[in-house]
Amino acid sequence: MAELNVSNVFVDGEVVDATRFNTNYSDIVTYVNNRNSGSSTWDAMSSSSTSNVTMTANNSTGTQDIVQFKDNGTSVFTINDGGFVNAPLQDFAYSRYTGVETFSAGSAQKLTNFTVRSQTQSSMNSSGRFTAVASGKYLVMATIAVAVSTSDTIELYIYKNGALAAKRIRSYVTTSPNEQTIIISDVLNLASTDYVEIYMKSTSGQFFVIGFSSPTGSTSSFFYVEKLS
Amino acid sequence: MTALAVTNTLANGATILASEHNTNYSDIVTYINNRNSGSATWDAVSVASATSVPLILNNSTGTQDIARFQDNGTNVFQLLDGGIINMASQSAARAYRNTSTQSLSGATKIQFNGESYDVKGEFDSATNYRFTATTTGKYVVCATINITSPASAPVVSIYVNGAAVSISTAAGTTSGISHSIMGIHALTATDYIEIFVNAGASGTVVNGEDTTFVAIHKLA
Repeated sequence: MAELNVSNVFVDGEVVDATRFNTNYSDIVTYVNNRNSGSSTWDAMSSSSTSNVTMTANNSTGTQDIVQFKDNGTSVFTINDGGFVNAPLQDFAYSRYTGVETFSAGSAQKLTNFTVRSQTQSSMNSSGRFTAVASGKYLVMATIAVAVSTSDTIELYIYKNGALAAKRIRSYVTTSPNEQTIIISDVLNLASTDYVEIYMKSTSGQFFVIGFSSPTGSTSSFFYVEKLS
Repeated sequence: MTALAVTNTLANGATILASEHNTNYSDIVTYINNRNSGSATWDAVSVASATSVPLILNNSTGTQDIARFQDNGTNVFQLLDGGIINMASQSAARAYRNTSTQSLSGATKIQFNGESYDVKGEFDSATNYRFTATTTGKYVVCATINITSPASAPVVSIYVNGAAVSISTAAGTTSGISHSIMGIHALTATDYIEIFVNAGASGTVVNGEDTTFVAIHKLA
């Protein structure tokens, strides 16, 4: 911890050169000015007031960032010149559906064939479960493309901790083409370690989910979660 | 306000003890070091620079929070080690149709009479069934409405201040299915959001916290 210290301590009765006073003043001036310029850092800072805005940062006429907050030197929150806010490690995960799953008629079944494509905090596992690292409000969205071979009612669910939290019910009539999309979105309150998953149910059980299609690269079914607050 | 002050004022012609100088230096050192360690607080901090990033916070190799902004001692913005942001007091509400169904006739406002959460008390689930923004900003709105026996293909709409701004139209009149809509809207303080459904002459909204709901969250 870089504390302020002055070089000289004086003893009663001694003859003191003026330079020793000057050195002490210089110690104080240098310490404060280094922190004012940003060439040295304060160890911690706390401000509290009942009448003034406790902290204001202004980049004046410059074009440099307004604030940078870092985790061991890596920026995790920045406000750019112009007011853009970046939070690159805020909890976020995106998975897309791949492969094929069969479904039984009339019972809710978890979708597990998700492949994580992007995430910031390792919250999403390889079987379609997102587990919150920290408490907060999370935007949860799923877009699922289905192909039906018979008229059917298909339900898409968001489950939280193994129980139904939100549902979307659609009915489908076999047409040509018979691919249709069902979407659900919600903002859920999650505590740390709470988890969300995507489930589906159909009356007939005779449908399949359309996932990632290679080699064209089309992606029809995916699952997103982002922490909003 | 705890301003810096030194104990001793030195007078011309007076015999000054070394200890008086030491005390004054000690006053300055203690004041600054207490604020450097965080054991004492600055009253207000304002930084401005045309050339340097005016404020940089770095928790180095530690695992403690990087930043905390508080309202009378309660965290309202918290940047955790690892970069996760908590904004526990950010505007957000989720409401749902509770306990009973709702009849539809023409363009009908959905009466969300239950709340899952309402951080700022902005959702009126008793009288007007609307979300009224306390502060200006951009808000995401997600709604899902389950409808039985619609007379015509349901149209779900997001209304701002009494006028439709987003519309989602169903493909048909199948009973017992859900209709969803999602949008991001710019609201000024006191603007309000409502959800309307038009299923023609008749229809019924199904109740349930997981079945007919609206979630609204301030993004910026």
